Amino acid sequence: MRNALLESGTLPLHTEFSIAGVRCAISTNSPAILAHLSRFTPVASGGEPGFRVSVLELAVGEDQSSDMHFRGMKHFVFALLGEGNRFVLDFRRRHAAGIVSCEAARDSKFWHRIFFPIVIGTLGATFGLIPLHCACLDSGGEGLLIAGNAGAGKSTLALALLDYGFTFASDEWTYLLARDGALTLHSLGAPAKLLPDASRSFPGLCQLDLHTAMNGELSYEVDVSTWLGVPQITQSSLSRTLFLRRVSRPGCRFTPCDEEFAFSFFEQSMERLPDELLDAKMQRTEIIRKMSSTKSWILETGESPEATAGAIADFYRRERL
Amino acid sequence: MSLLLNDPLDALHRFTPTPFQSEVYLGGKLIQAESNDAALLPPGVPQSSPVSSRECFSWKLIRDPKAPGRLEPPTKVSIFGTVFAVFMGGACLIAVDREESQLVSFIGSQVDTGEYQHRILPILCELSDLGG
Repeated sequence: MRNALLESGTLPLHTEFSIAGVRCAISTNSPAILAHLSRFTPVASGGEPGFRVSVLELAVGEDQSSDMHFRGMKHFVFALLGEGNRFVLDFRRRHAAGIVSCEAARDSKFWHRIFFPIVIGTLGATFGLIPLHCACLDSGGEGLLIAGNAGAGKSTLALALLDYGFTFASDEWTYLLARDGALTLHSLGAPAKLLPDASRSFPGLCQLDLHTAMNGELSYEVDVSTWLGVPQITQSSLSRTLFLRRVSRPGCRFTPCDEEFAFSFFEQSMERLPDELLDAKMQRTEIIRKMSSTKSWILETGESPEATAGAIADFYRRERL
Repeated sequence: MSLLLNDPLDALHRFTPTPFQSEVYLGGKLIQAESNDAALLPPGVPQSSPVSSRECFSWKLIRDPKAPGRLEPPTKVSIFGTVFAVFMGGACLIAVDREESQLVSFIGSQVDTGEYQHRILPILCELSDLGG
């Protein structure tokens, strides 16, 4: 049996940084992995980390599959993240530990697009961070969440809103953090993911290559900073939520929705947690209850993303007055 | 026979029912095992008298028909001496928390009885720190 020992002696390199507003302490044997963390905000060591990561760079063993595979039971989650990359996430200790191949250790995309989104999305419930399948934009320091079922057009609408003075944070995953009584929205700075039909709104997409996402979907990956020349922010404060519904009837209609609707929408979309994680489950429900009390509307639209974005901008102006 | 529910909010299969249970002595400890597949329950001497909680170890073993592939050579990851994980590809995942005396495992449907008894069961015993 091949043995990988994760302990102080084998993981001599340490650093701490802030990701999605949460302190992470990482220990590793790999300078290459530490180098990928420079885009996160460094923090002085000494405080209690929200979660810890222990990762050993190790040459790939024989006959290792390249599957992405996830399973969970009690306070553990297993994550197989491609050839040679094996992790176990321990909810009781808020700890992600495992081994990575030399190739993954040197691959910035692995850490920023796969590892950290999965780890904070999975372990987040233990430290007050909730992954929301929502787009997030900012206007004057006020965060706008756009929720909706898959295929509702959140990503295209998010990019269309950039023409109306909104600043882009994320189009797919937004992380809600409850800390010191405040709710903040965080993005990991991931590129926007647009389905092929978004090229009707953004013809320039056709010049880009289509990528296959982890869920098998074909999409264009767009770095808004380089492609559109606009900034991408990573934090905002929760101010408003829109629940986007595509309908066949022309026009855009904004209907205020009550707290129970918002609560049910988000609570029912969350992964179920076992009783062993009762504290995390209760904390998550409390945070969702709190976020549900912010202003929210159901937006029914039968218009193009561009026209819908214009209607949101008008509505936003009137609503702020 | 094994059970595995398909729940879109349980993508990790955390809530697979485990109707098969047993309590047996194995290697000097009482193993309280539960599974969705009776064939995964460990062999041993049935428990008959009370034992202290320090001598108990809980095993939860899930037969996972959706686990990909066949068994790969095992890689054991020891995490600061308290948590251990063994990866044998997607076909067999094992984690043990020695502080909590808990072991969990997913075992793919392509793993046959012989492979389970000769390649996996010894690892479960070793990770549970069972003597003899």
